[in-house]
Parts: sequence; C-alpha cells; structure tokens
Amino acid sequence: MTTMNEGMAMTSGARGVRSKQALLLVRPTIRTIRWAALLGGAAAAQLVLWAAKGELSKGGPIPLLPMRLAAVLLCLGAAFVLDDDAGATVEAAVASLMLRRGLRLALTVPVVGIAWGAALWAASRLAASGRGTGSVAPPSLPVAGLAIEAAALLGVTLAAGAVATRSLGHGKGGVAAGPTLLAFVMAVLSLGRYWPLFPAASSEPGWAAAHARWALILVAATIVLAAFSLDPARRWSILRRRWRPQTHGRLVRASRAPVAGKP
Amino acid sequence: MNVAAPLGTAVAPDAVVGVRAPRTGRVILSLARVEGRRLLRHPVFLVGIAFSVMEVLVGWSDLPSGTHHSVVEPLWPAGFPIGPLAVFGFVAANLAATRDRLDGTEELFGSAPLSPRARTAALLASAAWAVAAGVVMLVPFVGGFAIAYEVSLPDVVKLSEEPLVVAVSILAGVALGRLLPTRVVAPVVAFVALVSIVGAYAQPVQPWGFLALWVIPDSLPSVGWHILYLVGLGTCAATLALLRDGIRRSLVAAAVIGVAAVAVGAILQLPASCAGGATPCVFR
Repeated sequence: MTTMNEGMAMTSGARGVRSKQALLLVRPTIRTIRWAALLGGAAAAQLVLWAAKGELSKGGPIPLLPMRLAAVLLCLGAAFVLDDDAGATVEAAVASLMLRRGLRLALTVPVVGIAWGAALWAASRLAASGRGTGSVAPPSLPVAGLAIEAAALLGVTLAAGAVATRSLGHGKGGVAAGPTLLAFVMAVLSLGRYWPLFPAASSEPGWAAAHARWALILVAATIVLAAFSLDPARRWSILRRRWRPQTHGRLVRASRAPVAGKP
Repeated sequence: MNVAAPLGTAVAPDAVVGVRAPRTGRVILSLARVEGRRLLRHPVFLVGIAFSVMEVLVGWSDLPSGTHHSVVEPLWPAGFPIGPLAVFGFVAANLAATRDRLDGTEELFGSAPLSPRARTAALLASAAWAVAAGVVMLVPFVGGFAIAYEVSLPDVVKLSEEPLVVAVSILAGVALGRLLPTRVVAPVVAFVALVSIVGAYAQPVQPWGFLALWVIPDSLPSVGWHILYLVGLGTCAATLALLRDGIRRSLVAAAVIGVAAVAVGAILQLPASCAGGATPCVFR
C-alpha cells in the first residue's frame, strides 16, 4: 500500500513538473510560430469571400465553392504552424516532441478555428443580405459538413508538415505541406467522378457519404500527425524487451590488443 | 599550390596556369543544364507529372464514352495534362529560386565567382527542360487524339500554346521567388492559378477567360495573338526576375517589348477583334 501511494505521488509529481514545463514553454513557443503566414491565410480566406460577394448574395441555394476556397487558403497559411527553426536546438531538451508540438497546436488551432468561424459568419451574412423578406425560410449554411471538410484539409496539411519535418528537417515542413495540400485538392478534383468529396449542396444524395469519407480522411491524418510527432529517439516498449545493450561486444572490441604497435 | 601568394589571399588555380575563365554564357548554360535536371527530378514537379499522366488516362478513358468530347470543342480534352504540370512546375521553380534564402546560403553564393544575375538566368533557362517534358508528354496524347478524331492539322497547331503555358508558369515561379522570397506566397498563387484553370474548364467562353494563360484551343479566334500574349508575359516575368539584381538598359528594353507584346496580344486575341464579330468567333 505504501509503495502504491509512493508511486501515485511520484506520478502526480511528474505531471506537475510536466505542466510547469508546458507553462514555461508557452511564451517561447508563441515567439517561434509563423503567425504572419497564418494571418495571411486568414486574410486571403476573407478576401475570397469578399470577391465572391456577388455570387453569395445572389439568393437561392448558397454556393459552397467560396467557402471551400477559403478553407484551402486558410490551411495553406496554417501549413507553417509546425515549422520550428529552433527545433534542432531543443531536440535534446527534456520536453518531448509530442509536448512541444501539442503546445504549438493548442496555441494555433484555436486561431484557425476563429478564422474559420469568421469566414462562416461572413459568408452567412453575405448570403442573408441577398435574400428579400419573403415568408420562405432561407437555406442555412451546412456548418457541420463544411467544418468536417475544413478540419480534414487542416489535418492533411499538418500531417504532411509533420512527415516533411521528419524527413527534411526542422523549419521545412511547411514548404512541403503547401504543395501536398495542393496535390490533395487536385487529386480530389480529378478523382471526384469516382470518389466524390465535394457535393454542391447539402440536399444532394451523396452529401452524407462524402462527409463520412471526409471524417475518415481526418482520422487517418490525425493518426499520421500523432505518429510523426512521437520523439524519433523514442524506444518502443515492445522493442525494449528484446533490445539489449551491446556493451559486452564493445568491451571485447575495445580491449583487443593494439595492431602493429598502434594503440 | 601557389607558395608565393601572401597569406589570406585566394588565388584561383586557373589564374595561376593562365587558362581563360569560361564565358558567362557558357557557364549559364552549364548551370541551366544542372538546374533543369534538378527541376525534372524535383518531387513537386514529379507530382505534377504524375497528375498529368493521371489526367491523360482519365481523359483517354472518357473519350470513347464521349463525356468531354464534342463537335463544338474537339480540342478541349487535349489541354487536360497541362494544368498540373504548369501549377506544380511553378511551385518547383519557385522553390528552386528561393533555395538559397530558405537554406540561409545567400552569403555562400555571394562568394562564388558567378553573379546572382547569371544564376537567375540559369534558373530561367531551366524552364526549357520542363517545356521539353511537357512536349514529350503531350505529343503521344495529342497524336493519338488527332488521329482517332481526325482533327485537322491547323487545329493541332493551336495546341502549341500548351508548352508555352508551362514555360510561362516556370518563369513566373522564378520571378516570384526572386522578388518575393517567402514560403507562403507560391502555394497560394499556385492555388489561385489552379482555381482559375478549373474555372476556365468550367466556363470556357467568359470574356475574362481570354486573359488567362490557358484558353480552350477551340475558343481561340487566333492562336498567334494568344501566343504573342504568352511570350510577352514570359518576357515580362524573366525581365522582372533579372531586374532584381540591377537595372540595365537591355533589360529595360526587354521589359518594354514584353509589356507591348502583352498589350497587343491581349487586345487582338479577344473575340471582339476577330474579323467575323464576337459570338461566331468564340463559338466557331
């Protein structure tokens, strides 16, 4: 019982240390995030909606294309969220990659969410401005469906950024994530005939199926992002059992007699 | 090793043995060869090629069913593979042009004997390799298409705009990378270009569509003026990229010629300038 209590105390102590670390990391993380790209993406998204003002306020069913364009532009700005020029320096720090990246996402994803909410609000206002004061209830934006699409696009972008950071190095994930998102969008457009993902309206019969696919894409992207956010130096518990340090072999090699009189 | 050289003085081995340094043009050509090969092997450009091949396959599989092919616009499907190649070529060229800035090696390049302008010229010349890739990809598709549907030779000539679209997009990628070397701009511009290409597919006869890089060949009243328009755009992009490293009289003259070509080509390619009037010219 005493041992269990000690263990619990140690765990809660470790958690306390971890949360203190996270709190201390907040300010430096805020400084290293590329806010300009993120805010530029948000501004471009608003610009697209403003440019499509005429189409949105035309009346009738709300066109979803401007919202989708805004989502892609927002994600292109968010592609640089995982870039950390100091990543190589802090690799050896106590705080794990998962903690650092989680903190980074916790700070930026709400900003993306706010920008997306602002885009939805602007689109619905523009759509409402085009309708008269008729007795027929105006069609509303399919917020949930569009949110799943935007979240999946963001997930794909961040997963691509995490994979690229692992293979290309810190600070270069965004450079690969942007073109990857473009390729993803192009693939969706090209294969739309066989695997439709962008139905034109929520009243279309394929809407639910398309959004189930978007949800699957979101789950897959989240798994990839989580897997590539694990510390590369981490040893898996399954492997740890089999792995034995080869100290014996090294010692034998080191203790060999010098060759040709060299030490 | 030159023993007589004072400490801290770098002496080029060529200077010691009296061999002439190669001409700048030849060096640019050598560097362009390297950059061109790098561009062709760039993962982003390879993705563009993969999408182009996919578009060819999808377009080819649709032809027998008649999904896209129509009597009014028989050449329309032949442009499908160019869009991805142009968009991803733009991104790859932009990444090549911003490479030194992103890697923080501008100072290292600054100590190299070749001037920044020559390196920019080599990057611009590397567009030829991408154009060659575009032509190699397009020729079998267009050939098979023209034979299968008995498209006339003058109509096939209209397709010469398509490799030029790839060239202009790569020149624009280099220019943007040299003038605005940031990470976020190129994907955003590429996405806007992608949307405009898809828009051109969807609404082929909008008046603004004639000012885009790619116009559906069937809708072109005169391919010559559109090619002049594209050449002008390419000249302007290349000149802008080179002007970043200093203004020269020859560059200013090239810029003026480019702007004039854009203006003349843009006006004369419009359907209103067609001898038969607007509507019949667009829909012929």
